[in-house]
Amino acid sequence: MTMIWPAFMVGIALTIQKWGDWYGSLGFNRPMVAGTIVGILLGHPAEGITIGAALELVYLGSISLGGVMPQDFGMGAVFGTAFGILLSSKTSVAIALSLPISMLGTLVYQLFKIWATALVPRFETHLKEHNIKKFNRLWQIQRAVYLLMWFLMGFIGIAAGTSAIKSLVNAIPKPVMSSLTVAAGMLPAVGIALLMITLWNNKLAPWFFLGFAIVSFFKGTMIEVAFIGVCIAVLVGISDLSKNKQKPSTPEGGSSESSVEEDFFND
Amino acid sequence: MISTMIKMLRIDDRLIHGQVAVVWSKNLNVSRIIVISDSISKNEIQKSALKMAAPENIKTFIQPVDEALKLLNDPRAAKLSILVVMNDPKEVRRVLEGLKPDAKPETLDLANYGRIVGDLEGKHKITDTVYLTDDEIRIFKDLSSENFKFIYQPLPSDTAKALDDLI
Amino acid sequence: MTDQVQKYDSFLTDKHTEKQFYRKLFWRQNWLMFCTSYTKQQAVTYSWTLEPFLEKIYGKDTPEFYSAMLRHQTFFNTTPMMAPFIMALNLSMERENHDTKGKFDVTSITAIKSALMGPFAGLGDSVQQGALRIIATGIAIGFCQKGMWLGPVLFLLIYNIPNFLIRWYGAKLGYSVGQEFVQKAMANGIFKTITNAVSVLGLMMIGAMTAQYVTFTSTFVTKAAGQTFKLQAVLDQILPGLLPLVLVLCCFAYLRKKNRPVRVLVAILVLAFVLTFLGLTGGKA
Repeated sequence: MTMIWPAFMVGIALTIQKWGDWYGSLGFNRPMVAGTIVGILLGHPAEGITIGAALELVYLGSISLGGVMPQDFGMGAVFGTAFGILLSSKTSVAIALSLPISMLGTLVYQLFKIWATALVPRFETHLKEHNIKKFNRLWQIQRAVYLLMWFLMGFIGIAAGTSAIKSLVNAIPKPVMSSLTVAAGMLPAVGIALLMITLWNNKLAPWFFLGFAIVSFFKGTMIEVAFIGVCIAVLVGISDLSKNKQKPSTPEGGSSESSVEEDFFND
Repeated sequence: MISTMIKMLRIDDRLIHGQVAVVWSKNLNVSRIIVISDSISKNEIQKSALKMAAPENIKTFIQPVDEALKLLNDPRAAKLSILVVMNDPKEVRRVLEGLKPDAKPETLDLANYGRIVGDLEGKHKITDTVYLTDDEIRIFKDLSSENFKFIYQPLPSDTAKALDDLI
Repeated sequence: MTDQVQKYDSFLTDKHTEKQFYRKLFWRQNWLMFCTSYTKQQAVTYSWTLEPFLEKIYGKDTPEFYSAMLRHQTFFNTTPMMAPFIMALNLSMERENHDTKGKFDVTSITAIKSALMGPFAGLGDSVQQGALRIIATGIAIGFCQKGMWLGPVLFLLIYNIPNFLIRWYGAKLGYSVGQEFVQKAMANGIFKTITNAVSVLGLMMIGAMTAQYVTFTSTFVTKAAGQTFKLQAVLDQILPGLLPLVLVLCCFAYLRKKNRPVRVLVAILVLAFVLTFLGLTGGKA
């Protein structure tokens, strides 16, 4: 089985994934979407979607904020799904493979970012020399390099790595496989916990348990929880706003010095 | 010395932003945050942005240097615990030299500076988040010789490094 | 594109140019994340986005144009979705600067950027990552698990329709309402209210996800005194979904103290191995 064609396709998939991660923050970094893209390009859309969903759960709480990525789960998902489809292996294998690959992805991106940082003074020089053409050209170049880099990454990874990964996967003993399946079910807990950290606030804690209760005790679906959740969020917002209105507007900068002083020293 | 009421004087281009203010004010257990800046205390929109970014339960003030010194040198301030945030080394010098000796901040932290204003050419990279001009390096060396020793520590979880070793 | 015979205030002269202006801004701002650097984050592409508009305001290749471009090389970092508002606000200020020839304080242009990017990122991240994404994922993933097309399509729609509405109307609002509006919005607590409401919704969704998508069940079965004893059945009687809930809360408690997600991932892998080898999980129930 020649790997050139699939490698080319995965290269394209990784490029599209990276493009749609940044362009308009389309959400292409999410494993669900990345898996779908790989699935379509490799001709197994349904498998791509399913593996993507499993990966999504693992990386639920991983988010990239301000260009800082703890893990490049987008790339992890592209390769995880690709190996899952090409080796027709289980989703738990796709998950296990995606973990180290997502860390490698962060490393690759950091290298690019160092290069982009080195370009920043050059952009400024072009502007100082009143040369907007060179400024624009350099901008086009960095974009091209960024996208090309990911294409090569995807291409080389599949072309060179598939046979090695295949023998590795075949060598995994049965008990390890069933452990991996168990782990795959548990791993979403990490993602959820990470999400909780960003949203948590002791006063809001009961809402988490309410969401849990609706599904766990009353067998509600996610859509039902979202529906109820939006209603509650609007109610919370309205009561917050009316509370703000009742508060007398605090004296702002224009007020007399003595009031700032009083405010500062008294609780 | 009974207690140092100024737990930290922090230099940060962006003053109060994101988790930084929340993390530090929890870590230091402060009850007040004062942003000291002559220019920002005149700009209403920046003032409201900073107040919004500040942690909810901590009173936050944005004051020009002279007014802030009046507040900090007031004997009533001794019972408070305060985080001072600034973004201009020249003003930092005025504050440090204007404070009463017993009001000297417990920690001086140069955490994040030099990336927002002006271009980076002609600045020395001190750390990933600190870039200084020659003039600014001189200010910090002067302050160091007056026994105002700065550290570099962006977040409480980072290890503190002495600025003297970096410049 | 017409030449510069048109005057600086030409962005909104009639319906046609107005549309053109917002469309062009919309298509350019989508690239914001490209060329993110350690030193200035999104600054380079921020200025690249404004380039044609500054050209129109100050004229092609004029010294004023270049000084405006250099002005926008300052550090910038916010949720990309929130940037169009700030960009458009900046453009209205640049135009005012050109109109009033020297009377305008240009430092206020950079000052407003630095003042807004922090609070806007706080608001934008919690709306986009905390609410939109969680709702979209929560709803879509069930369909994805069945391999249905509806899954990814639903995700992209639920996530991106608000994303683009905020970008589009953010730009319109930023250009027209000006600084005072933002100041009022911040002063009367609207930002905090939205963040709070969105957190409520987000927390409910992840609570639901804990029950729905964390699979952690025991398959331990034993025969004692002639009766089959199923561990999971007992656990379900105590509280349905007990194990997933405990697991999530443990991860949360640890991660809140020490932010080391990789360590937790490894710990869970190890735990899964140990439990499976002990026969508590992973067998046939």
